[in-house]
Amino acid sequence: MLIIERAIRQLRDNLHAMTEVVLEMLELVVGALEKGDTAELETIFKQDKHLDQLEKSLDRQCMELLALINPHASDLRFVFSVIKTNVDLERMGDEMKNVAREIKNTTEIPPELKELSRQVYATAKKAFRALAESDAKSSMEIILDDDKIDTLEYNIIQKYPQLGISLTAKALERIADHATNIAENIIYTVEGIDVRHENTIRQRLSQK
Amino acid sequence: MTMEDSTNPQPILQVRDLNLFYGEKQVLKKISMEITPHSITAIIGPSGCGKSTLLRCFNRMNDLIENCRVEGSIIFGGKTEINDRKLDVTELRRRIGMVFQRPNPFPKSIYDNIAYGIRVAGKVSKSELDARVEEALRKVGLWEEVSDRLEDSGMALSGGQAQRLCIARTIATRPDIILMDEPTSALDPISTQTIEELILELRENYTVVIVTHNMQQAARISDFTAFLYQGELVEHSPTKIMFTRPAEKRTEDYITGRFG
Amino acid sequence: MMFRRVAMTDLVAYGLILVFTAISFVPLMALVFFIIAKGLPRLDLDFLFSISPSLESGGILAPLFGTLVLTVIALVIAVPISLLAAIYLSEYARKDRWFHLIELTIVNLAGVPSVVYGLFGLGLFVIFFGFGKSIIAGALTMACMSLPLLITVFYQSLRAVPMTLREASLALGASRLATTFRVVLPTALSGIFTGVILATARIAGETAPVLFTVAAYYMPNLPESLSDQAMLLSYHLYAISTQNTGVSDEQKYAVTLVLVGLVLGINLLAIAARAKAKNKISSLV
Repeated sequence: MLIIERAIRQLRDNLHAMTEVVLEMLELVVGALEKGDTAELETIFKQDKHLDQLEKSLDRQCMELLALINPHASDLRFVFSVIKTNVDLERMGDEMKNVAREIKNTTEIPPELKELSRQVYATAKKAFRALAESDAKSSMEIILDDDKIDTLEYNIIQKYPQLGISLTAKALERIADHATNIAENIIYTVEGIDVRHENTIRQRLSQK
Repeated sequence: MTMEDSTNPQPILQVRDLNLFYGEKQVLKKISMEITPHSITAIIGPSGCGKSTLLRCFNRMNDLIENCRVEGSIIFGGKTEINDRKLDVTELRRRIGMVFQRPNPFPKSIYDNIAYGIRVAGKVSKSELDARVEEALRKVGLWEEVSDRLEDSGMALSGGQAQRLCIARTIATRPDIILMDEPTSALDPISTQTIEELILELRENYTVVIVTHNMQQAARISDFTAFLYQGELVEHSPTKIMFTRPAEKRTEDYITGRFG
Repeated sequence: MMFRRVAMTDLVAYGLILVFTAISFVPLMALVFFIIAKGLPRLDLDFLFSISPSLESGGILAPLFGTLVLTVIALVIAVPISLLAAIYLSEYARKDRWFHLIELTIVNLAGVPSVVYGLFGLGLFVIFFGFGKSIIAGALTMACMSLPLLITVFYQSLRAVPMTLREASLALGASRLATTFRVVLPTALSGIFTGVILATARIAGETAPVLFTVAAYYMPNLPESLSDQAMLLSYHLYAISTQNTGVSDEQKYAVTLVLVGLVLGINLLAIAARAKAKNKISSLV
């Protein structure tokens, strides 16, 4: 295996480890919301600390790879995306901390919130799989499906005036946003096209 | 590195369906490309892909090689057909200069090295010769270093200085295009850096076409990159695009080092 | 021990090589010392620079002068021709069948025994052109003999000029002619010089080609024109050593010493020039 391939493989493995942690945290959140049992959410804080450490080490790895191996073309796009995805993953952890903090004081969890958390979980899982498989097609679906989650969140905020609930909904929506960002990064890595803030490109790609 | 808005859209070199054979072996296959004036074009590709041969087509240096046959057309400056057998190649080579892989100063004084190209072109007065030698040495940033020892042998210079001398020697004939055949491959990293900076400065007055096996170098200094593989021009695009999202799979494989 | 045995074979081989080198070296040195010892007592300015009224009385100005004149004229004829030929072969000729034929011819000519050149000169210059036995006929013959040597040495020194210098010159818009005369020749100059010196030594020392074309057995005066015969050192030595002339042994050795000294000295000069040429070329590559 080439030096660059080994380095990229290592980056992929570490990125995968981070997505696993995020997924575990998300499972905890979804479970807690379903059961109304907030006791287990304490572990979220511990896992977030772990996630922060992983973020730092992945950043360092990316820097070293750029400086020493000089990747080009698809390799360069991949490393660039990893740097950005890394930030998104860490933010996802932060948002889950917010969820954990808000839910503790909430006694009654509305069914829409449970539904939202399930959808966010599904989106994140799909994004992570697309990341592992460099799948531009399902990344596109994630981007196009983001509107549904936005609508769900909007409805919750309209219906439930309690601060804890709307903050939780907002945090969950942001987690889905980060998953969307990751999907955009995947498309850039694979196709070399930047689809952010480009509705025409999105339409064209979605028609393909 | 501005390649978006070139002020002069007329290409200085237009290559059309260029084929080149060494005996029976076809070395260049149907190459078509255009070179924009006042730009730096890098030609990259694996060893033996024909990149030096392509470069040598531009100033007809392939004439030196026995049983080398060229087909197709290369138009210089919109009207001169370079492959015209009746063309005066000495005049052509003054307009399209060349710098080689290893610094190759003549075993003459620094002054005579620079003056050589001017002298063979025709008689000039001593004062004009002096002025042109100084101008050329200044352009490559060598004047300060050698002005007090112009009579010393050009062979006494260090590798990097000698290569700058060779560039100055080329500049002295007032060319439009400077061809460079791996000009830093025999130099240390510091000298390489100096030459690269110089090449960037040259773009203001000249058009530079450089063959390099150092992809980092192509990425650092060129506006356009042409990728040659087994005698074919696979891709020719702005360097920024080439090194971030090349269009061709073969380019991608070469640039990322997955070749073979 | 094994290490020791290896060291022993090494030592023996080294010793053998030394012995063989000595075998080739010692006779030459012995010869030179022998000639010096025998000839030096007779050698003085008067011996070198006076014309002898007879063979026996010594005074070798006439053969010395003859050799010098013949050598210079032969070189004046041979060097330009060989140089142009070498330039053609090195800079212009296509490397095709004809080129290899010419190359083969030159190599073969270099191997022709010198007496054949002498007979060739006799036939062509002395008889056919009617020059008679004369300096000009001898010089032409000598020139013919040294052509292969000169062309070969010139050709090699031109080839030793790195291709990159020619490319640099051509790429600057110089013609082939300008490249040859402004870059290639100046760079090859010390190699060319070496060739000239080697030819000088050869011409000065040869006997056979002059035998039938120019050499006089004895002349009481110096030659006055190119159509005169001349005495020559090499032939003079041949004559006084083989004919029963009553010339003293001392005088024979003195003539030998002058001839050997001349040729050896010129050859040493060639060796020095060649070393210089090598240095110059290697600094270019």
